[in-house]
Amino acid sequence: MARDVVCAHSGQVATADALAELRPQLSDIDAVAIVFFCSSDHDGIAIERALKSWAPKAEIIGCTTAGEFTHLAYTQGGVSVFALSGAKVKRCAATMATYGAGVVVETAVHEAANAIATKLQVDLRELDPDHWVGVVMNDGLNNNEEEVNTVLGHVAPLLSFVGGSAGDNFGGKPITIKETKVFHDGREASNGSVFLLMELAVPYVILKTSSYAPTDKRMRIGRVTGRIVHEIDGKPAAVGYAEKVGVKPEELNNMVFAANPLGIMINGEPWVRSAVAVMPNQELMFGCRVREGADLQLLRSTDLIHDTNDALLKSVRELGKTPSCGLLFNCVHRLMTIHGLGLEGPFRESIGAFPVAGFNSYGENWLAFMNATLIGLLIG
Amino acid sequence: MQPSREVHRLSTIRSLLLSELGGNEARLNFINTRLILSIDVDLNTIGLEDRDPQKVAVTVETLRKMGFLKHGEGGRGA
Repeated sequence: MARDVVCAHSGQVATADALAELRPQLSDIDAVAIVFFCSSDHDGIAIERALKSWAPKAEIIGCTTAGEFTHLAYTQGGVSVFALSGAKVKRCAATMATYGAGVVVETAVHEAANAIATKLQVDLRELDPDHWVGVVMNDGLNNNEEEVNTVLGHVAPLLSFVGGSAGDNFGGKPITIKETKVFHDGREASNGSVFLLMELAVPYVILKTSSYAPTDKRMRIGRVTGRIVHEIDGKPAAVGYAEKVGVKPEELNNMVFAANPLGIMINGEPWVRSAVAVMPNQELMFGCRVREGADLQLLRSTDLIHDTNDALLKSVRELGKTPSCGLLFNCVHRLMTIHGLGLEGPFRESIGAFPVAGFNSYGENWLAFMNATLIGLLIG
Repeated sequence: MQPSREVHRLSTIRSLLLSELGGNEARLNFINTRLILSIDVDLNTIGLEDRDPQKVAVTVETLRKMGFLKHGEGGRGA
């Protein structure tokens, strides 16, 4: 009997072997929308072409990962696939935008949006957000995510585009980050984005959770260049940050950053901005842009598993039923916490209640770019 | 950046935007979240910033890029 949802997975590290494992899992769905996630050691174009040959009607986008998962498997080095039939998606369109030398991100994203609008014969600004939702995956190493999200807000201000930034292998020691890619229509881009816009035939909800709560400490952001913060509270950024966190500047490391991000609080929810590295002049690099002059709240870690379960329950209540499936984008900062605290089993259990597919991302998207968050598109 | 000649207050912008959204507060809050995250302007808690010319100008510019407030106080299509 044909299925309407498939979340498929292969842990094989060779592309041909992974495709051999995936094919039977996708054999009984007439897919119209497919999102896939693969290790950066895989041939993403070959995977995309194979998926297209199995599902010629489908719009397909994909990206590389810092680990990929479904509700049944959790790997580094493999492939996960999320596929929906026409019972879930009335119509959809996908495209890719590429950036780089001489290409303005704003122009490229406008062109991508126009391409989608033309394919679907719609005006993106007139679409009903109760039925239309988008997925966006950006490459994870060129710092374009903020601008991409800004332009998406211009072209389709009432629509949600959820997603994450492509990752690279994160499991090795030391962690080696070389290149991230996005895939669509037989092409790949290491400096670009892929977009999928869907008119759903069923309700959906968006899940956003980060396991942080606000403290009573705030930090005033001084001079900023891109994602580099030069000053916090009038001091060199690393000094100002360390002081508020309660450590010495020389003690700043990935675990301190993961446990003590900054955030913008909106309606009681934190939108997380994480420091990721100390730079040579005691500046701090962040995982997403923070605004010069911003007054951000220091956040403290809470219980990642409890918060994930809570967020999923809240989403189920909002949807009015258990989702038929979910597409999840889980930040590598959460991955570090999960590994650091030995929470792999509980995390897999928390996302195991219904079919899901997703990956560990270098930042997440929904209305803006953010860090240390789990973003999900849960479908009825 | 010069403030818009048509609008001088964030509270007015809020009213115009809400009107363009057909009175839909949920959609206003959705757009407002975008504004908070992108330009650090919260139309729901304006206070002393109501007449900040810089914030007004940036907000008008941003909303016009989104396709709102196209014709100043008349809003879209007026």
